[in-house]
Amino acid sequence: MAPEWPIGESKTYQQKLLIPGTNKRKLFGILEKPNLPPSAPSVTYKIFMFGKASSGKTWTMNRLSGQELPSQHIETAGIQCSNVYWPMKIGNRLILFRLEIWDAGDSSVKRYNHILPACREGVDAVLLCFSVIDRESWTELPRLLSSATQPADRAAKIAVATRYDQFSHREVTEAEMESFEAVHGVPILKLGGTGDDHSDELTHTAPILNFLCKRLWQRDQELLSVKQ
Amino acid sequence: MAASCTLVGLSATSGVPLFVRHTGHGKPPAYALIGSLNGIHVFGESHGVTLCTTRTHNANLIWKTYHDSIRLILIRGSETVGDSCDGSLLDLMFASLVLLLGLETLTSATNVERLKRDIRPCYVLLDELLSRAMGCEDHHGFSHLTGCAECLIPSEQHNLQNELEKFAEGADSTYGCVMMQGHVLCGTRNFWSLSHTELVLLPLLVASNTFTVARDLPIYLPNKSPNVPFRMLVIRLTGLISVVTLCGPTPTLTEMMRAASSFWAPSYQTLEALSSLLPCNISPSLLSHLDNAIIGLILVNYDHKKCVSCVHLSEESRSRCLSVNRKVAALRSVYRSVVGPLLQPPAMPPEDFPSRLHPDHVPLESYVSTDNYKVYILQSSPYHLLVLFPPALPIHIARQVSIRTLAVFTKGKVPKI
Repeated sequence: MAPEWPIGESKTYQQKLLIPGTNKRKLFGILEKPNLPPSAPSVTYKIFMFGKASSGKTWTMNRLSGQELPSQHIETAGIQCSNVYWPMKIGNRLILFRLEIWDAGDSSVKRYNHILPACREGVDAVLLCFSVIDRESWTELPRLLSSATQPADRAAKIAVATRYDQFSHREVTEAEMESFEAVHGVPILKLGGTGDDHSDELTHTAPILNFLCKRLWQRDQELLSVKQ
Repeated sequence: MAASCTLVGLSATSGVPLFVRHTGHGKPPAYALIGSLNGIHVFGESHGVTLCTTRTHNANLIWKTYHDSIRLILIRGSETVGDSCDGSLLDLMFASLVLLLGLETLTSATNVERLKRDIRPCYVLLDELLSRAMGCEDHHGFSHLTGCAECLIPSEQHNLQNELEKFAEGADSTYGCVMMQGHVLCGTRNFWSLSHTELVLLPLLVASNTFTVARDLPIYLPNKSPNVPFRMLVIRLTGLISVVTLCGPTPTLTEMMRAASSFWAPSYQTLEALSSLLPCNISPSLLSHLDNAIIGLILVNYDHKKCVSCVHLSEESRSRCLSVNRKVAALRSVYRSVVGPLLQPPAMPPEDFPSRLHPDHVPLESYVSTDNYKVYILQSSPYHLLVLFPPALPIHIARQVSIRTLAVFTKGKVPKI
């Protein structure tokens, strides 16, 4: 059995993700990465956002990458990818996680058959999105769960409930969500607008990214121990 | 006076509204109103009359039907008079629909609900074009008026060009370009063979998404290939610079991301250094040759389908009366009123053009003088140059400065557009 290394966040290095002098996270191009010590290894995980149209996939992707959140819903065309860098401490080592998030628009997936296979190939985790103000996206969730990945991927599955702040329009109860988590063993991340306080999005998003990275790391350990 | 701009799309055969996009003051028109707008058009048709434009006391409307299947109506609620540029704008908007859907899907759709859903990804482009038409802040850009790709003039062009050609070849593509914040830095030879519409819309589509690192978008080139899609692969190399290629079924997005990281890594320093070109869009060496009196300019080369603009000149000088937004508005309004009505751009389709002012004489120069600015316009085939000056500058000086400025951009060993 692999030893359980304590895994935690690295607040000092989180500062390296920001545009100097601001609270906003930098958008790193493909040739760039955060300025961490060269000895820190980098691990990449591919994450696929899955869910019906308007379930909050692009919103979630932007929230995770710290970019501007779309104020109105405009359907995604084709595939779009974001890189989310997140430093974590595993045991004593600093490790830079790179989450490569894939998001594809619903109508593009239906029209072009190269899109879904490209998104699913080699995926490490699937974020199944549904909106708490859209009952239909919730009832679709079990079907999404089974069709999201091939069993061979052994992808980690995490559900994301979006628009969680809009409680007056909520169409899914807390009890239903709790029972789903228990029955399927799939955790539900609850995301919603953080109100007008945009000044420190990193602090608000850190717990979610910590959770995701831990989950991905645990899955890696499980797969390694199965191989042994 | 509150300005607004609305685009309504209808099915020409059934009159069913497909979408409504609205920018500016007030709410978009109600369903019932849209129905009556279509009704007026149909009434005209039944009497053998094609409705083109309408003016009410507070709005301008322009109708255009494409391929007998999609009808677009542009409603301007403001004091600006519609003109031939609005007709071209509608053409651009129809082309945006073709760009993301394909002509076949757009014109022979049987299921209206499905068509409405398929059109939704186009909203990004339509909204951008509407914002430009309305003169919204931070939606600067002249490509929708000039019909040419908005470019940058870097000081050293050759190296990047060669690298791009090699990269595109490696990706099995002949159409490729490198872009920085909505402007084209360089393009492969075949890229410049694309039509005016394609060269205006592709950069807009690339610039519409600023938060991702890679994209794979199926697109249909409205003129070159309206029914067979290409995959537009956009890879963001640095925070500001992206490389775009139009590919077939290969390479996959993952392969492209890997190929781009290894190919462009050696050029990282060069690419980073290019960010100093913003916001002026012109290399410092060229800028140093420009006269201090100039506070803004647009240079268009219709043969090469390129244009370059700069509204950040002489920021520190006495002419602080005009903000960047107002400079953009001034240049746009002068362009619309002079190029077309008076000076005819040779490369734009001539069908909709009003006849020239004097059939026997070819206008070469023009100027507009207002209490806030002066603009001098030169035509010297294939160029148009518009230069913005402070209002106090005497017009004959403006003329001399403009002629010298055109020479700076077109003569000698300078990177040209």
